[in-house]
Amino acid sequence: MIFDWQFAWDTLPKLMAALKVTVAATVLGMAVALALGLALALARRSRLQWLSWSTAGFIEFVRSTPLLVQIYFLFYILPGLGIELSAFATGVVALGLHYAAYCSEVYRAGFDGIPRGQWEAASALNLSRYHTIGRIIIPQAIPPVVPALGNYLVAMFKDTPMLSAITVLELLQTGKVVGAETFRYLEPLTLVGALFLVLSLISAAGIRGLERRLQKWVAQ
Amino acid sequence: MNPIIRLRGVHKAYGELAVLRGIDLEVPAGQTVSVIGPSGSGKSTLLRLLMTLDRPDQGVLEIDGESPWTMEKNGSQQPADERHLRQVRGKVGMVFQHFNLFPHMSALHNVMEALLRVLRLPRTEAEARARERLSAVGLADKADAYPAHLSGGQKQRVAIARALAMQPKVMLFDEITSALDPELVGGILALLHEMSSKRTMTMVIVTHHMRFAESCSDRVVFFDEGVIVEDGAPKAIFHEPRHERTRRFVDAILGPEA
Ligand SMILES: Nc1ncnc2c1ncn2[C@@H]1O[C@H](COP(=O)(O)OP(=O)(O)OP(=O)(O)O)[C@@H](O)[C@H]1O
Ligand SMILES: [Mg+2]
Repeated sequence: MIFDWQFAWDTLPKLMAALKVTVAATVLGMAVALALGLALALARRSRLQWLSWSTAGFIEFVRSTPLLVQIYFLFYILPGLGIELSAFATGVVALGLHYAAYCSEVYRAGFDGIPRGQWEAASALNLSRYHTIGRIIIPQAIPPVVPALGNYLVAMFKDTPMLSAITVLELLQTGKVVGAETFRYLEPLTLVGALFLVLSLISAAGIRGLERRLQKWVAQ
Repeated sequence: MNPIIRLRGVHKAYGELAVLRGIDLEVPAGQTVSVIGPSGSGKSTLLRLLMTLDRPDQGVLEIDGESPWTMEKNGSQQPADERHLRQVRGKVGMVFQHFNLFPHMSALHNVMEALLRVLRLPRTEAEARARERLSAVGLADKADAYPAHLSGGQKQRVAIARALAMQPKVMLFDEITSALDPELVGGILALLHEMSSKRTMTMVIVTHHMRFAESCSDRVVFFDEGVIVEDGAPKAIFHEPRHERTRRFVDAILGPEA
């Protein structure tokens, strides 16, 4: 089998359109994961025992079950609960929930890295708990964990093909469809792989750039 | 007049370790008290309780006549809510051995932060007060510097300015010169001396500088193994201690010169 460059070129527009779906799912999923992950990390630290424990249980549960199971679960169970979401939105929620559990552990490490003296200085200045966390702790806890969060961004990006299980026409699924229609799999699947590679490299570079800027800012 | 600090029978343990074992102490407003004693005797623990960073296991602790951890509600004493705790806490300020500046904020913003968020001063007013406090500690030109770019002595000055800007009635200093290079110690002690001579604030100073304690405080408290062994005028503690333990401690540090 010879790689047909012309054919590859012709399928590119279709794949680029699907890439948009993949990127959108990643960006939105990551936004959910970052925000929810922070909320979970804070709830985990809460002085309310029931909240802290149930959050810990939730995180453990999500981390020890496969993403694919969670995707199916949400896809088939949510409508029964009266929550009607598109396949794409369900996928975003599933990715967001799954990675929120991982991100919360990263945030937790960030919080644990803050010396006790910072909390004490904030208390001695009579800052409220809200301001202590929002103004003193979070701004110091997050910059050091940006690389770890970035790794999860790339990991989530690579997990998006699982959304094809619930009929989301993302990149890989589109490549397969093209292959099935034309009986040529080599070109579309190669392109799918190449597109994943390129975007992963771009985001890794972006994260490193962000990291450098944060380091400069922290060193000030 | 009521004392601004009142402790009666205060106990504090960490696990099995009884750190404070029945502390009675009254400090009238405006007094400067030096606390001395061997390492591990509970001096920092006492200050942490006064700052309400931690709560006593037992006994009475009152700041300006109020207990931070309990409040009167419907005619009986109830556990205090957050509001009450912060209302009492606002009367006290503290400077730490390791400065504990916020590393992500400039000197100016370290001082301004609580003025904005706690006292809710308008921005211009907060900035004016912060700059004024920074110049009072000799750091007018370092307002925009970040802690990482300041020397230890400069950091401690920022920390002092930050605590003073809140205008607490009581200021606590926990070995604030211990982490400094020797040549920077004198300047910080001079600053403390200047503050205490104004007599507008009550100051509790944990220190290893006996000469400073002697010359700058109204009163010296000698701490050992979680109890106050001796409490009196600096002269008495340093030159005519009533207790053998006090004498041994003072001699060990000053040398048996007196
Ligand atoms: N949060 C804590 N948990 C457990 N033990 C503690 C805690 N804080 C203090 N301690 C212990 O309590 C004892 C008294 O500590 P504290 O810091 O009050 O002594 P200190 O008089 O300030 O000593 P130093 O002069 O060394 O600062 C020490 O043995 C210390 O290890
Ligand atoms: Mg100490």
